[in-house]
Amino acid sequence: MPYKRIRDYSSDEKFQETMSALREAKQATVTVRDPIMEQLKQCPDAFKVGEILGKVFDSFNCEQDEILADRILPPAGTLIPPLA
Amino acid sequence: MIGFPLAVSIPRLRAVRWRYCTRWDEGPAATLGMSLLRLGICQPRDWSGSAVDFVERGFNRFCRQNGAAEAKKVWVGELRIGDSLFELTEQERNQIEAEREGATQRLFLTGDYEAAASIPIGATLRRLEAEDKLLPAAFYRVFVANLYKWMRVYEYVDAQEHAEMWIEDLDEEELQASVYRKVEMEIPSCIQKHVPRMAYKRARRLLQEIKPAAPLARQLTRHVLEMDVHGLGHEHAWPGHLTDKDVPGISDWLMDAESSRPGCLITWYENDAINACFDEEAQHMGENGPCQPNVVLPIRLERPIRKLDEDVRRVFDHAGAMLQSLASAARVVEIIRELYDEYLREHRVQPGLPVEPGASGVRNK
Repeated sequence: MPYKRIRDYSSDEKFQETMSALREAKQATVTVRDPIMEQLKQCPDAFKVGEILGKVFDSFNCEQDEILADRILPPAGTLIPPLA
Repeated sequence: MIGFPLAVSIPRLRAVRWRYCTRWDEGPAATLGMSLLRLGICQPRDWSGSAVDFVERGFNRFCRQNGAAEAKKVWVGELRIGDSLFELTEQERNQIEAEREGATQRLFLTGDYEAAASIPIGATLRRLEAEDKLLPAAFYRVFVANLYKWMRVYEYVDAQEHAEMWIEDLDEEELQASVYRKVEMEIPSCIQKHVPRMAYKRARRLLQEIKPAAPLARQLTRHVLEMDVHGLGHEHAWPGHLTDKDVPGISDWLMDAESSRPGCLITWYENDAINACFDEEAQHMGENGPCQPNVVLPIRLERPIRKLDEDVRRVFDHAGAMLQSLASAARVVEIIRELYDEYLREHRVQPGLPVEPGASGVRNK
């Protein structure tokens, strides 16, 4: 039975770029340490804060297809601690 | 920083991604993301620099395309992709990850319900009976069987079992005053007479053949038959179906875990005997261990590309069928509630629907 090629090697440039970025992300599991990530790990509560804020922002954005990171707002008066 | 009281402003932090995940999350998500990209569920434009984001965007779109918004009108729960069968705190996660060697090779698609949706079906059954004496039983049989594909259903049979267990300890006087006695008494004759003996295929055929005159009855049968079509070829993916070969250690975990929380509560009328039995059981759910999720589908990331893609396709097909079926079921439940409200108005009963849902079920005012 001839080997059926999986659509892993699409000629589409964007597809290739994304696949390559995902391969890098997969490798990063064992080799790369992100400095911001390391700082966040020192303070697990920051994840919770991020999760709560994420849900708030998502509620503004639930009808949108894309995440409009630069156009979404926290409610007036929201206090967001700086990352570092 | 303090958010500006203007309609649109949050600063874009350059070189900082929208979301950060642990290294353990990014690796498995990247493997799954590649598969989703090959299958066309994720698209290149979903890439934001994070594999978890990538998977989430594709998954969210997939859910929307399969009717998640409609399903959410009635069902209170979530479909989640994660590396654990239940939610972990950050501390628990760190502890597990510290003990694990290398990245996880397994992800799970889990489906669970935060509350049981209230389905007071009595008034609907009476309407259907006016169309054809076998229609209520056929409708109930197909509706409940299809709900069972995606959730644990709490219905009169569960209430009967609960009542039987407690009746044993009651003397005659207590029994007369007890709600348990009413469980049996309140079962409508159209259900008691026909449902236990009606095979699924016969019930479906009856639904296809009987043509109700009333528009709402026609809609009900149409949507229930839609559920049957969406659920065709799918069986309930209970965690109990998994073996240690599928997920190492699952049998021990299942021994310690409690049954799944029901996704819905089918009563004849709100606050009837079934409701009372459910309330009693619900008080103790999760007391002796975590409740098993209603649906669990494992994805083995270490498999060769072709097998992995087949696995992912199978899991997403199941999730798609579940969402489409639950969207149709939501339409059925909305009609059932409409008919129940009409019944309450006709009988001059105060609706009294709680704004804050009790343990018995969720129903928005």
